[in-house]
Amino acid sequence: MRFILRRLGFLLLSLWAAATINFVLPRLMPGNPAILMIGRFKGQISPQALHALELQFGVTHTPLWSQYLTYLNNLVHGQWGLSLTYYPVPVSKIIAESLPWTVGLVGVATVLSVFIGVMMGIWTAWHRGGKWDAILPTVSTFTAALPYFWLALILLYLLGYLWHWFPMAHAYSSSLTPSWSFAFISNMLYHAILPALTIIISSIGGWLLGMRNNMVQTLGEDYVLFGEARGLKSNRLMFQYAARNAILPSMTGFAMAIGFVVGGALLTEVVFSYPGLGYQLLAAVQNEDYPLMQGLFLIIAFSVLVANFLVELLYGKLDPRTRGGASH
Amino acid sequence: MSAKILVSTDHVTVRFPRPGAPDLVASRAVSLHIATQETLGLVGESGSGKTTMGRTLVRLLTPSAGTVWFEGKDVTHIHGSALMRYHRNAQMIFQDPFASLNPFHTVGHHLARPLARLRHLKGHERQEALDELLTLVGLTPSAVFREKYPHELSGGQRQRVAIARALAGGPSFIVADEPVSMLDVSLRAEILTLLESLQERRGLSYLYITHDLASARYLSHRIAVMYGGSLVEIATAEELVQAPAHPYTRLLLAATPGSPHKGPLPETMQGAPDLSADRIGCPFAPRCPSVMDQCSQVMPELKAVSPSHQAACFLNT
Amino acid sequence: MTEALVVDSLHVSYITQSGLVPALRNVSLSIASNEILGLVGESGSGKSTMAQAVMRLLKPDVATVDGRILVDGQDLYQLTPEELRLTRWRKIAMVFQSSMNALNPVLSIQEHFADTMEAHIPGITRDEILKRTADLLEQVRLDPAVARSYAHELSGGMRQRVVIALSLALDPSVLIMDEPTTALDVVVQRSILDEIAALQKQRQLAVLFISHDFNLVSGLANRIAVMYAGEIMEITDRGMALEDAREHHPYTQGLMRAAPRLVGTKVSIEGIPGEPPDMTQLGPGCPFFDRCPERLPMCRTTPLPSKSGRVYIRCHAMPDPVVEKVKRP
Ligand SMILES: Nc1ncnc2c1ncn2[C@@H]1O[C@H](COP(=O)(O)OP(=O)(O)O)[C@@H](O)[C@H]1O
Ligand SMILES: Nc1ncnc2c1ncn2[C@@H]1O[C@H](COP(=O)(O)OP(=O)(O)O)[C@@H](O)[C@H]1O
Ligand code: SF4
Ligand SMILES: [Mg+2]
Ligand SMILES: [Mg+2]
Repeated sequence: MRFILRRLGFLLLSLWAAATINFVLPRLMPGNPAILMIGRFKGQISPQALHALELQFGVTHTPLWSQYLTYLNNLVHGQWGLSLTYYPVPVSKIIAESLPWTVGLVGVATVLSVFIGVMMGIWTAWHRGGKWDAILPTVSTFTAALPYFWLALILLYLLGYLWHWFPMAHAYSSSLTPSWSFAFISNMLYHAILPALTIIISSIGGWLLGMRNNMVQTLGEDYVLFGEARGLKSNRLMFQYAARNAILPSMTGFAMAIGFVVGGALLTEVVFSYPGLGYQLLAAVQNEDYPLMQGLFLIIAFSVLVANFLVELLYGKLDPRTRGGASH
Repeated sequence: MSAKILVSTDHVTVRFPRPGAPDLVASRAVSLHIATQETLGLVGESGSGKTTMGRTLVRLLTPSAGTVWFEGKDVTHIHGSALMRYHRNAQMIFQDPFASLNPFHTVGHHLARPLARLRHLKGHERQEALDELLTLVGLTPSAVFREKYPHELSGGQRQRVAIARALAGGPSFIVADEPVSMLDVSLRAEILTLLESLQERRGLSYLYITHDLASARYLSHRIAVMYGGSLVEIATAEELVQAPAHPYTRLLLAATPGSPHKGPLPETMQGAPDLSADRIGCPFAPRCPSVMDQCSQVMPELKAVSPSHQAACFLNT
Repeated sequence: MTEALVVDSLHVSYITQSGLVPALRNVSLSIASNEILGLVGESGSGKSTMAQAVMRLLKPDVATVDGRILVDGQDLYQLTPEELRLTRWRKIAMVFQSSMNALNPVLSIQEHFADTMEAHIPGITRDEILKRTADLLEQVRLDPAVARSYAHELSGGMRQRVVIALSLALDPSVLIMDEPTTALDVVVQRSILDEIAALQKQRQLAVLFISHDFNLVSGLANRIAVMYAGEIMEITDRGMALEDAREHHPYTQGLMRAAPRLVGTKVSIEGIPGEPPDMTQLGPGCPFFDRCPERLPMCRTTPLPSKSGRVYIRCHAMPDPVVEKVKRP
């Protein structure tokens, strides 16, 4: 319990730090890009939008600390400014609309990739020297080395353009309106398969190889041999003795991967015109939409931190040594 | 042995600060002395403060209180070039010869450095001194061993290199910290007999740290027993082994392989001694079968059992 | 007296990049139920290899194993994987050399016991497991509350006791102990040895007790096998081991002369000059030839005879021990 509280405190502290950095950075940029940008937009956007920008970047005469307090207050209340690209839509609304698509596609694909990759890593290491151990790691080395962009385009070309197995773009057919109907959901899943496949193919090899290496090392540990000597059943040995120890070094990697899901697989969403956060990020950069960019960076930072926190809790569950305080 | 005292400690205390707890006292007001050409054995279970005393004697550690004397001079707080001169006279050999040698350097390199640093030898003279050292510790032909790397040597040979390195400055006093505990029996015997013969040929004094009473008896003239940072008994080797006065020494003897002791060990419980600064009384009291009321209140002082034998136990008063 | 463990013509070679490297060569011995056989030898002589080969723990890609291992008359190397799994621990159990790492760091001690029992006793209840665990821990003089701890919370001596308690969990007939007390302080070591001796008597165990310390083994074992370069050079009786060194194999004599004595008159010690042979370069004769003070010209080329029996000496210069002097355990 004390462990959880400590980690929770640490999480809140780092969230606050991320928010503060997000506040400070634009104000530190050399040559004050805010003013430059405001200048560029003069005459093109409404005075309200300009005012919003000025507020956002501190081109006002209120003292810094009061700007900071206003910023924090707005942040907590979901007022993250107005997007310039979609003016006057609030940044928070754009994020709220794109987030489910990203989490649905990239999140599910990443979790699948981690799960399948880890399982295959465990399997190949356990049967090392066997048939699958000859094939899977070699294939994985190959797929892990493929440039993602290239892989995505090739699959899109073959499976989408040439053979028409899957749609070429978007999250669902433009003829449908989102609803909880079977027609819509099946259409949505159909659209998700190809992009998900590209994510899985490109990342699964890394998980497989990493897990296999850790696992092979753990299999050499005395406690695994001792378990075998005790006549334990092989499932118990494979998972509770070998895999559970072998997975610990990869946990930080999982945290990062899960956290970055929210950043969206930028390339995936761009290649497949998928309306997630990555797609919005590209749009924001292209349009110099600083409020949107800031909002997106903040949400990415937050999700990395939260994922780290969750993984650490899981780590504590898996490894009693980190719980501490329980020595005799 | 009534010869001249070479090195001694007077109430040496070494404390290590611990965050959020009282200091750890690794050695507590320890007074002992070693005469010229004498070997003092220092025995006790791990964590009893033996290494700490050894490091303090060669001034790799500075004690928190007390004095270290060498040839009648106070060396407790010397530093800089005075400390360097002291290290010509006082050297240490460590338990793990592999860890104390650099895998990327040849045997010759390991010996050349102290020859240059401590004795300022150069060129041809240094080569000669180097070959002499290798021959002295039995690494012959020296021309072959000079060029070898640590991984090309066996455990026993590595320990010989470590001994040669300790001898490079021409010391009169050597602390040997468990020099054979990681070696096989037959290699152990070779290193122990080497230390024996070096003592004779070079007139060395040793502090021989070990947890093995049999080898301490073999190599030492006198044996000191430490427990929980305190010196609990000191006597000539034979007297200590044949007529131990302190209950901890008796326990240690009974437990050593080859002891004729039968039946349960003379202890009331198992456990490690409390090293914290606020401990009072005898460190062995919680395990002692002869414990008395005063034992957990007052630390007994070392008292003479015979002219060549002292023990810190209320049983002796 | 029945033989609980028979090792018959055991050969083991490790598979290395530079080819097969022999580690055990034609090892034969047997241990009766209710007997402790000590196995001593320098490090690298093949003691741990012996322990693992007897448990059939050497994987085919690690080493080649040839010979028979009979546990209660059953050849371990003829069993199917499932039969082997069921035989291990129920018939033959083992205490590892480095019990520091023998416990899974992420499982509690209780779970180790539960795993072991559940793997062998179908339908055992949770209550039964808890009760048995507590009994076993008490037998090795540990507080049953230790069951809730994890390995990292225990001292080296406690971990060693846990592993010994685990080895007794299924009441095996043969117990292999590979240097079970090395790296422990002498007092802890002695108290664990005392417990091993008591448990062995009480449960009529056949124990193969491996150590590098001749003194330690001679205080515990009924017979002592001396291993050198993967071969057993001598099996001697405890009674004889304490008598005249000159009645032993030249290598055993060397070991006895190398260890300083704790009691009796102080005698000088001497090492055995030289180093153990390179196992890839062994000649046809006695492997101890290079270091042997008693060697004869024939020793270099004439193979040592194969021997079996309760006690024997394999040496061209030494007769077999006089059997009348051998005391029965
Ligand atoms: N540099 C250090 N910092 C903190 N504690 C130390 C240090 N060196 C030794 N100790 C502690 O002092 C005690 C005595 O250690 P040591 O002198 O190494 O004993 P021994 O050599 O008898 O095993 C131990 O509890 C050890 O952990
Ligand atoms: N996995 C292995 N691969 C190759 N050689 C090994 C392996 N394990 C042990 N050996 C070698 O086998 C010999 C015997 O080792 P071991 O049985 O561990 O000896 P001991 O237990 O007597 O110290 C040594 O020379 C050692 O280097
Ligand atoms: S057979 Fe020969 S070389 Fe071998 S131990 Fe006997 S005497 Fe020595
Ligand atoms: Mg030490
Ligand atoms: Mg071994």
